[in-house]
Amino acid sequence: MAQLTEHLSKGLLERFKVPIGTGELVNSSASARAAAARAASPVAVKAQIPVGSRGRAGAIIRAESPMDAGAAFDIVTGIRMDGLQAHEARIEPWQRILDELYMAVSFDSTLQAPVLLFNPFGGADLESHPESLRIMAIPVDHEVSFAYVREHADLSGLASAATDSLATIARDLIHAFFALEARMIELNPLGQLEDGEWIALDARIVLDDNALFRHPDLQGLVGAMSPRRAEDIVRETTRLEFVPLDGSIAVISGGAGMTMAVMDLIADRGASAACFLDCSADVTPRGYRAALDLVLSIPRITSILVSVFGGLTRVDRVASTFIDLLAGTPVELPLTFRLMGTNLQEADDILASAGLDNHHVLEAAVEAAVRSGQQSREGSS
Amino acid sequence: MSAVVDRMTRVVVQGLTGRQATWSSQDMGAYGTRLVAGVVPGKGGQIHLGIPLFDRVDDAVRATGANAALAYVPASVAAHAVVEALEAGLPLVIYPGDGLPIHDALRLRNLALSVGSSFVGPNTPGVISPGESKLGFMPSYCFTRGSLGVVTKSGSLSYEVCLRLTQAGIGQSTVIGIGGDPIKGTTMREALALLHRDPETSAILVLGEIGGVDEYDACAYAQEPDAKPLGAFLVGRTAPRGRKLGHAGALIDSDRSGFEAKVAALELAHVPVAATLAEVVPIAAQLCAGGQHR
Repeated sequence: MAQLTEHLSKGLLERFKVPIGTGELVNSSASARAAAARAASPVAVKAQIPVGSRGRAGAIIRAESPMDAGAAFDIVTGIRMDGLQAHEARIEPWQRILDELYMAVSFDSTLQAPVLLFNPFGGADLESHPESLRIMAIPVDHEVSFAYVREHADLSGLASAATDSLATIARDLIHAFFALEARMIELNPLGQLEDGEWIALDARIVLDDNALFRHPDLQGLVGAMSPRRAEDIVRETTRLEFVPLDGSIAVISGGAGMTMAVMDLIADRGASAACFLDCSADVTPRGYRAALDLVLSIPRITSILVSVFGGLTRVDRVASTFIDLLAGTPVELPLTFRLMGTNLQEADDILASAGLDNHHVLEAAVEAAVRSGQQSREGSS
Repeated sequence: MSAVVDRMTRVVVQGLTGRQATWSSQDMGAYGTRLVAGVVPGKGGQIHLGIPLFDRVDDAVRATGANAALAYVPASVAAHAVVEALEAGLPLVIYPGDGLPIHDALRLRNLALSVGSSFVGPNTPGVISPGESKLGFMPSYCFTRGSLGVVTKSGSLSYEVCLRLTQAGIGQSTVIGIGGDPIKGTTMREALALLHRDPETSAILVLGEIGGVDEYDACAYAQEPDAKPLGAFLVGRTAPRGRKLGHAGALIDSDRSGFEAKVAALELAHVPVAATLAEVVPIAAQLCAGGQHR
């Protein structure tokens, strides 16, 4: 799931005529000062990190002068959110806002359909007014027109001029959603200026990684984006599903559900997983090589658990792959195997011939991994 | 007749000559699944694994009377393959692969609904009625014939759980992998409806996880007056908020999609929830014995 920065999101939305105001991307305090001088002060200095709630974290600052904008750049790019730090900021004229709304297009799991979401309470007020959220299912068998949105979206409580403007924005947002094959597009807030016009003060697009093959331009944008989450980079280069966590037991696993089950079992035994690492999309020697390198790059790990319940994945191949890998890269840390599923007997034999145990019972494997982790920590301290 | 597939199911495998499709088809054939045709464009007229190949699904259906398709094709062409199978009039089409673009999943779901067919997937091992037929790549030895229906968002977790059930002597009627993607061919609600109508299913086990809202369908079902006994096991208790864990839908993006909220809702609906993997077997045994704590 490639979540884009505000600047990239707004750049894409501009193509679909969604009003995004003006703004300039800067990468130093000097360029921030220059950009602020070109815009009329005051300006907003906004860290470009692909996460929500930047305002609350102090990653958006109002600067009264170009000089202040330079200082603000240093502050907002020094803030770390979700482990990410901005290298760039977007400088925008500070807008006086009469009203703030929330508008988004996303997929609704319950309806199994794309939906237009609208909340008259936008910005920081959104979370305190979930009851005001209005949902319009988006038809997929015909193009969504202005008239359709005007008729079906609940935009009540607004002046009719505002309703017309918002229906136009909603229509364009829906077109962008389908054209980009987005997972989600969110404008929060959508603000009304003193002249009555509405603009997206913030914008967030989440693209579908799986659809990027049809959109080379978007693939280029995502690849060049900075900063990016470790898991997104890993997925792009290796097809492994990797999420770093804060524990010490590294889990190399297959299948999302079993990986989570193993994480939960590790917690039941008082330890915690160092990562979520699902290798099922690449069960080749290259994939497991990358997986082993990834977990060995986590400094605090004390133990490695290889847990694969193979269906399509034949676990005898997993066993022989690991034996080859370990022959090439001796691993000092304790390594526990729990291979089950297709070709189990062969896997048992392969591990046994290398002097390795295969724990058939998952709980026993987790117990062994946690215990050996404690021992390796004690041994090294 | 089982809920989804049985001995009478005649299967066309799309992409039969691929490496994984070949392996899985040999495995399915050994299990007793009736594989009647393969569809590989450009290879029509040839034979693979003793199965006749066709260029197009409708040709295969006309020649062999196939009534289900299993699409073993890459995600980039999956939408095309599934559309072809649905338009050939097949009442059941399974796409087990992962990485299907979500907008494709939406189109395929809606097409299946409009032609009145079942579409199962993406991102699932498939569907098995133990002892009858399996359409997919789940390891056969994990399953045995019985009366417990299983709906699962995770393939690997269903192998683990079903192996434990099988070893404890609790057989399964039908195991439906609905997958962990946010837009599904067959949803939890629809899978539960299939098992509800299935006379061979006397009780139902739901295997869920964080992310999405599928588990609330189980709560709704459990509260219907004629619901079959239902139990659940969920994984992802230790998952961090806001990070996607493997499955495209395994993301805690709201309180409702988190572990605690789902367990609380299930318990409120009087659905017994196994606290650990080890508790799944005793709960399933109780469900099959007809007893559910009320």
